[in-house]
Amino acid sequence: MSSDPVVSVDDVTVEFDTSSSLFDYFTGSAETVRAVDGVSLDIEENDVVALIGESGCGKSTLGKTAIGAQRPTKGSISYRGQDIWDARDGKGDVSIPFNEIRRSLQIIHQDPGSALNPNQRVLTSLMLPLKKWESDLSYEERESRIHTLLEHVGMSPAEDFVNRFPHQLSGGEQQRVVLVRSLLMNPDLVLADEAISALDVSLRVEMMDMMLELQDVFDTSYLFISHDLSNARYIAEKADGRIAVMYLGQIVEVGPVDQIIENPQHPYTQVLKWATPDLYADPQEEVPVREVDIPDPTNPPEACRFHTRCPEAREVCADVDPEMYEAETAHYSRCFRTDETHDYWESEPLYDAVTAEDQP
Amino acid sequence: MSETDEVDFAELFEKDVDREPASRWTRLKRSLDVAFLAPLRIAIHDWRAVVAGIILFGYALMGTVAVRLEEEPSAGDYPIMKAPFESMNYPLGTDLYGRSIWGQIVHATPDMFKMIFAGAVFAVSLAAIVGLLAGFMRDNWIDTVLMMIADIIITIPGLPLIIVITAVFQPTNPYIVGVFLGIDMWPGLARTVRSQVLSIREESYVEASQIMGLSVPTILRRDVAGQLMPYIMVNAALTSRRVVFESVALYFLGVLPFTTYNWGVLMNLAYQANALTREQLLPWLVFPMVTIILLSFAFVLLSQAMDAIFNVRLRARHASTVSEEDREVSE
Amino acid sequence: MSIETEDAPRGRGDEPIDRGDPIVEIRDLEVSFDLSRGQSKVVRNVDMDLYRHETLGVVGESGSGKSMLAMSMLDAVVEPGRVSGEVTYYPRDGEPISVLDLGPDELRKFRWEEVAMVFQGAMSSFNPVTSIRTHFKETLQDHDYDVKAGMERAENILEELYLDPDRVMDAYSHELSGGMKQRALIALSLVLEPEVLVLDEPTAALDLLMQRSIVSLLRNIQEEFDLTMLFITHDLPLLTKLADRMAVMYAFDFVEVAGTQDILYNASHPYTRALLGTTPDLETDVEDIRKIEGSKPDPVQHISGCSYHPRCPLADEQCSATEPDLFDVGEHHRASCFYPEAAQEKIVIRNQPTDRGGVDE
Repeated sequence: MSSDPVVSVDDVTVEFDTSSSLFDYFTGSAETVRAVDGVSLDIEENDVVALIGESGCGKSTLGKTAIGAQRPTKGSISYRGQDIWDARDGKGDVSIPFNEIRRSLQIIHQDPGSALNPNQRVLTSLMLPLKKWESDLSYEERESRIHTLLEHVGMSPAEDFVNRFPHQLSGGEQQRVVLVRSLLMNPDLVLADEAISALDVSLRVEMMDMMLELQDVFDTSYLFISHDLSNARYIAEKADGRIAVMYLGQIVEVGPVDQIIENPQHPYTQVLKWATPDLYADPQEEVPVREVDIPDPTNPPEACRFHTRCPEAREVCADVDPEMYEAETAHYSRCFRTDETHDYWESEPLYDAVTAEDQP
Repeated sequence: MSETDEVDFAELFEKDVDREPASRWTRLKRSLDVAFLAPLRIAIHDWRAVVAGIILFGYALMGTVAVRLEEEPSAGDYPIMKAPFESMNYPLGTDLYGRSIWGQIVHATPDMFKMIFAGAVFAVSLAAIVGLLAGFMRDNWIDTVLMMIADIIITIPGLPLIIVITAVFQPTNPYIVGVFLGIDMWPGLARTVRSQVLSIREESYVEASQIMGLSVPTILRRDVAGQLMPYIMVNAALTSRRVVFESVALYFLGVLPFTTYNWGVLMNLAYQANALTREQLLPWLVFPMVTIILLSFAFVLLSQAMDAIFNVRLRARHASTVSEEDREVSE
Repeated sequence: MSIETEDAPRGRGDEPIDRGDPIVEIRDLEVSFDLSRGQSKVVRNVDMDLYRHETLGVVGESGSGKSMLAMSMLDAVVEPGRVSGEVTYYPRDGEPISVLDLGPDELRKFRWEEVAMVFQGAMSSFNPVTSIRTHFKETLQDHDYDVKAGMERAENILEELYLDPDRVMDAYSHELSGGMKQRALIALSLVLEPEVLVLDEPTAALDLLMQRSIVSLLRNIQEEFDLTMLFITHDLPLLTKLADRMAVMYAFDFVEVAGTQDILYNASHPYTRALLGTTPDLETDVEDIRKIEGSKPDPVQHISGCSYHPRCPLADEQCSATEPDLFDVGEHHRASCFYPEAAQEKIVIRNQPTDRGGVDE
């Protein structure tokens, strides 16, 4: 058994061109968005990493890069030690063929309604990947597997469901079919891209529990993308996993879930925590951030990207780009405040104390 | 995989379940049901499909049975310029040369249908393939080249193009005429198919298929083409209508040689003989016109019916082997 | 454990709220659609009172009928939907108006001048080819309002919402971020000075921080403009700092209506309690968060007796045979359940603090 992480994201940058016409090139307004900027992350066996952040932070792009659905502009991404894109292009010594890699990295989309081919019955949608990857099974054996798995996730009797078209299933049922489809190939990593956001509140916990239960059966890891900190915490904590917080293309904090929730180091994480609505907690009225709107991702702030909104920003934050500092074991934060000895503590605050009136 | 994993995995799949696997026969029945019987049932319930079906069947009869029953008209068969609805020998009257108008209309039908078939099949197939490839391989050199060819043909004015082509090649075979007419029609359709493919491509299920490692031909066939079918079938019907009109127009203008009977030819001859001012010759002009309009109407109805037939929700509802519970979310 | 209630429902801050007279009364409202497989009743004989100057939060999951309920208040249910029942609006002065009986001209006057609505999905509520300024101008003109005064008012409202009028007015909708669009939409709904503002999932597509800000903003403008608000959402925690009262919708009707604090600490309907117990948060132990069994009801199939009984752990024969009314279970607190005390005892919400002071560790 190798000790390589299942997927290793190494200093990956993903850039997109926002120009769509020749005109833009000539007028120089061709802009590049760095959706992911120098991110490194390891996902181990049977791991759960919850990736949280707001829109424009790059979490979806990072996720798709991690499962080999998006080619990085810079950096490398490896599956069990084998560079994925080298395997795909046939470069160098390929120890794991791309085929095997492709099969081991799967996805669950946010909207179950559009994740299933509307013109195909459920059975066909589930048969196709099985036929491709387990071709030595007979039709009966494949059908049997599909039925078993569907019943395991609560769609019983399976006969009723397999012959239906997607529009004849409820949202929760559709998402369960998508979950089954992703696991039929026995993958090593499943990207759950806002997989529960489109579900009703009463179904979310059930779905997350199901994902975790099947994790034990299939030995899969999950990269769980969410904009909701509460849900991310639920699934990460149940699986004893990690939370990674993203902001404008970078991971600003990562660590074990209880650390992140109870002892957030990065001011942005603290802001997210404040913004998460809670049923019974007392609200802290002041908005702990200077501006509610996220900066334009094509033109992110210099040095520390959060400094324009950070209530704790000091002069050094506008000059120097922070690295990842270790707060506790395996808990890192991209903020000078984590390092007690840093020059930050000698630097002048950038802004006056934030008052309630300033707040939107 | 470690020992314990294999146990879990196998345990799950070896569980003793009380179930009969579906027999080959059941599977075949299901596929047929969804692919043929359900569409048929939808068609029966849709008035447009029924009316179009009846009209087209009528024309088919005209082109097969009536052709054999009716003698090929020639000059001097009957007295000239007889009125319609008088005699069973010339139910629609006769023309300037004593030929039965009904006879001429009937004998034009087989060639007309050959033209329509060739034109529609050629134009729509080519457009579908080109549009599919170009759309899926967006921004690839394939896309650029294909669209460049399409754009060039679109830019060339249609009518002069056909006139030049037919003048050069002098086609007499109705199939060839159909194909030539199709040359003008496929590029516009290819572009719209490409647009459709571009938006279908963005759907999550296409991305899911790619991530699952399904082959490109499979994805094109099942995911993309499946969504395109309604659009393509509707356009097939509409293209047929265009072939009718364009061929009629070309024959009427005298661009296409008078080697076969054609409704447009009849209208041309009638017009040349001043049918607009000579009342007795009006049937010669009007009845072919009615024939064309009726066929065209049938194709329009058919195109609308096609949209319904290929609608997956309706198909599911009309399929007998699909679950009764049609749970459509209404909010 | 029931808490002593004073004469008015406990609002969001635990103080009794200053409740005015009813401004909208809904009686026996029914909205149905004829589907090929049967009649779909998405709002089933609903009664509701909305009081002046309050914020009422309507909580329900997708398909519970809450959006249709809101649309009915403006008589905006689209064909082939059929609406029956009474919706009575009490203007500041003048006779009560029966909304569902209004003719097209009267309806135009009613909508936006008395009751305005912010729909779900701000993204598509704006015309992409006209500027925001044009939207305001046209609204004012269509209702024969003084455009100059109206535009001044509009700019004030935009400022209250922390938007720069100069920048926003001349922009087109695609140039604004999601949060800005939503705020501009709120401003547009307020420009004719309505009495009531109905908001349907106004924060659904927005980021966490923006969501939180807009909730605060809404509190401010409610005070500023003396509004009555109806806030519809599936996200219960969002309402706790905003709503005075909450009404929980399940199976196309209300199952519990009470002041916010009473809902949070004294919820008496099993569904409400289950909902509270299934909402993950940052404090509760994850093992204590419970999923809800069963699936949501189909609008076409009528469930006999209590609509929740197939999923309720306390259901018995009475529950499956008779439909419970909205019984009084406390002052200003109603729930449609035969066993509210049993619900409170047996369905434990572990993340709920036992006293108002803090979470029970």
